[in-house]
Amino acid sequence: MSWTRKLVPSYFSGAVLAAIGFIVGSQYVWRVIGGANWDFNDPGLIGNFLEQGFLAGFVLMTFGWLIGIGAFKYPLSWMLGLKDPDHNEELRLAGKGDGIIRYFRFTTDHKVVGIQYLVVTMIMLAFGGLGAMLIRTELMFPGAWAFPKETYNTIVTMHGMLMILTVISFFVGPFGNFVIPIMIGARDMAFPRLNALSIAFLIIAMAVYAFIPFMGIGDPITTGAGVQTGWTVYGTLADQTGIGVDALAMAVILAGISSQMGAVNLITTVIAMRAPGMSYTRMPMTVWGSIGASILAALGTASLTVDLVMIISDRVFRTSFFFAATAGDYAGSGYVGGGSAWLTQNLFWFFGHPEVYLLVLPAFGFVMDMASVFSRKPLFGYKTAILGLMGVVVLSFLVWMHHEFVSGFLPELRGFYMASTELISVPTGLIFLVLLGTMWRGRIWMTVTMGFVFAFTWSFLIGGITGIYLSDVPADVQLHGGMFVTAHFHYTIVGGALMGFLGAVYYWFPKMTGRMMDEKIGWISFWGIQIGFNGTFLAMFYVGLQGMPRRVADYSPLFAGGNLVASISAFVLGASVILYFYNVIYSWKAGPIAEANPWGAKTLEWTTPTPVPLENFGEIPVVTSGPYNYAEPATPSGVPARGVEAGPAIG
Amino acid sequence: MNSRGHLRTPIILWVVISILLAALYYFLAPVLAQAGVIPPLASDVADNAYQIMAIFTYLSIPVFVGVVVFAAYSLFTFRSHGRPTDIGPQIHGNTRLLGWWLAASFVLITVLYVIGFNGLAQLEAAAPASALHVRVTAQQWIFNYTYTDYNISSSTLYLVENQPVEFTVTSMDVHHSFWIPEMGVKADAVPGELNTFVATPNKLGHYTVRCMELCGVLHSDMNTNVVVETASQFGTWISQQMSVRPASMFAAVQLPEAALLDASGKRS
Repeated sequence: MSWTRKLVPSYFSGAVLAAIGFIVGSQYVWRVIGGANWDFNDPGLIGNFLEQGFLAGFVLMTFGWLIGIGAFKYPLSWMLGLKDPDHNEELRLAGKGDGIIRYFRFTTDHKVVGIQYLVVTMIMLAFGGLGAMLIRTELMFPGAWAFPKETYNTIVTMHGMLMILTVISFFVGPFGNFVIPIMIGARDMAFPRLNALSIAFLIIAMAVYAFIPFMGIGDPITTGAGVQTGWTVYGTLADQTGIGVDALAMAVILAGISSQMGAVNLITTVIAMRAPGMSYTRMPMTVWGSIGASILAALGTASLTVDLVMIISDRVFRTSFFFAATAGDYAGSGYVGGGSAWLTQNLFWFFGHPEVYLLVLPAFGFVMDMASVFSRKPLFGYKTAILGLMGVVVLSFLVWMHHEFVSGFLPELRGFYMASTELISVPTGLIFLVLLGTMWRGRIWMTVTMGFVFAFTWSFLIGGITGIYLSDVPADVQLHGGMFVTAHFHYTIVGGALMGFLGAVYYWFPKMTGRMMDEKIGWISFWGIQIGFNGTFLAMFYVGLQGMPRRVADYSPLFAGGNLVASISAFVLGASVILYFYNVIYSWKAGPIAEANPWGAKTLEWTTPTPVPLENFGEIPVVTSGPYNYAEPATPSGVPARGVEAGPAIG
Repeated sequence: MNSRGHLRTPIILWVVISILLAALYYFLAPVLAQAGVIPPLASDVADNAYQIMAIFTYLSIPVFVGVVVFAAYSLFTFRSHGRPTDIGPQIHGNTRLLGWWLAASFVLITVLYVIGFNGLAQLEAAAPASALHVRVTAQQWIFNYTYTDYNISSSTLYLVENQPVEFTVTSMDVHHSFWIPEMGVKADAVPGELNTFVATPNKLGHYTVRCMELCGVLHSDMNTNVVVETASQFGTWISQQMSVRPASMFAAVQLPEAALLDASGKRS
């Protein structure tokens, strides 16, 4: 039967086995282990068994999913000593000859993985954005008028964490996978199966994440379902919140594994798979930015994973990593004490700060490339740009304690962290120098992508300057933990990373889908996004200066004006993003067919036919010059000659 | 026009707009502060913080205006209508400009360091002997204040005008953060740890304490009042409290002090 061969293994069989895995795992704990000990008079035990069951369910669900999609097939055959797959089998695994079904399978072709990432991250973005809209609905007026406070806290937590996971994934996922191997002249990623596995982990992580709002309904101990902790999941609060935190921790651990696999894969690919002549100084900035982000993802994510494992351990096994008190307070609870509540802050932020640079570093690279293409000028200082990117990578590991300026932890070190934080504005400043210098005296072609490049410059400038206020200890003491901070990092992450992403989608859409995105809808959504975004977060700066704390469901009438403006602007932003999404879907189906190199770029991906064939290149190109060589003549078809044929090195 | 010719207009715009904005800020800031853009300042720490922010604003104006003017000038002057048919000058960088850019960055950073370390030294100055000692104990979802000098406790914070206060902040359960917006006082309340903060209230009045760290369901309701009063009013209040102390509904919170502090008063 042909349909079984198509559907098994696929994401559909994976979903079935995942569901079975969850049921088996959870029921085993609840009924077999818990059955005898299930004491309804002991609230501690009920909670404990409930969450142990869920955790076992999530673990088996992950295994079920991986088995169901066939991720274990080749590792198993190697372990059993069967012969290595030959090239034809590899091609079949990459989706050769499959139609649309290859997008719903464990497919190793990097372009399929890229499209899967694009769709998954856009769905994540949509749900994260929905969370933002709900938050702004609640904050539209003083008083917790729309939701109960515990629901609001859950929405805040889910919005924060989901958006972070989205932004971590949405550069190195879709573009890192689709574009970068072609850009450096490789046939695929270095580890194609690892690549397929990384998107599989992200999907199952999101499935676990979806449990959060439903976990803990009717829980007798905690009030309400979900997680009350905010995305920082500080261990102290995470222990007493509802059992939804277990789903959050599991989901984020799985997503962390996914991003680490992706990062390792990308770094290896760039080191090992470059085409002849593609030296490190001929790689487009997109590649450099993604490499920087991957280094941060590979090194930083572990700290959060450790933090979350400790949280699960504190909850389920009654360890005391984050509990300091030694006597009295926890009598009868089973906790030993002797831990440190500062530990959770340090572990979280040691991940947390490199992570925010992980979010924007690819954006730096992408935006510099787009600025170069649409100005028809080489980068203003290629090595300057690398210095900027790598300077940020190195410094980003030395600044995390600025999140703890008021925590009381080693206050004598605050001077150092203030200094290192302010120092990071030097490499970031170089990015601005490169951007401005590249546009200067160029032939600026105002496509929607270029619009987003200007939007990035504007927003990240504001985000960076307000960051200076926050890096200074005395000023930070006042602003710390308030809406000013929320506005600041939204200016960097939405204004920086998201603008870069929206520009990048518009830019590479013709390569990925073979069609152009609609320009008119593009501009309308662009202006809507700018007006909505700036209105929302400038108003948030205002209420932050006035003294409004973060993550509050209810606030003093003092802040009503600013919040109303922020909410209305946020709805404009939301509507415009929906319009952008509509543009993506509409253009994917019915946009005008794109020419081979619609933007006149000189990077390698535009030399391949669209849709890009399996293994990308008939013959691996020999690269003879840098990625911004606009002076070189183009072939009559409009495809630049650069790099496709061997020749003496020019650049 | 050559490069130099193009530079004139944006540089003039940069200087003029920067000066205009700085002047605007100079005249408007006090008006806005009056109108409630920032909380009414009521301590030396808050004065210090907002002074630093004001200096930063002056420093940021030329940086912000510079980037915006040059980007906008590029956009309007070098814009190609439709797809460009030719290419821009193939400039691969400018080492001299890079040098000046880096030099300017480091000069600005140095200024930030001078301001920052100076402010930090003020912030970290030890409490004078005359300081009032207040133990702040956060728990879900109230703050409790113990006046260790008098061994009384209260759910409303009473402070004395122009008398330094040393807050020692801790928490009974989860992370909280103790914040008085008008006084620029902020210290995380971390369970099991003591976090100190010294400030001198310098204006009579009623202010608010807000919790700044998400601490559970009622986080947004974790606000209490602060009253800054004269020394004599405060003395009256203290003696009242001491007389009713045994009946006070807010008993002093007993913390395992010995476990946390060694003889030198530092955390062991």
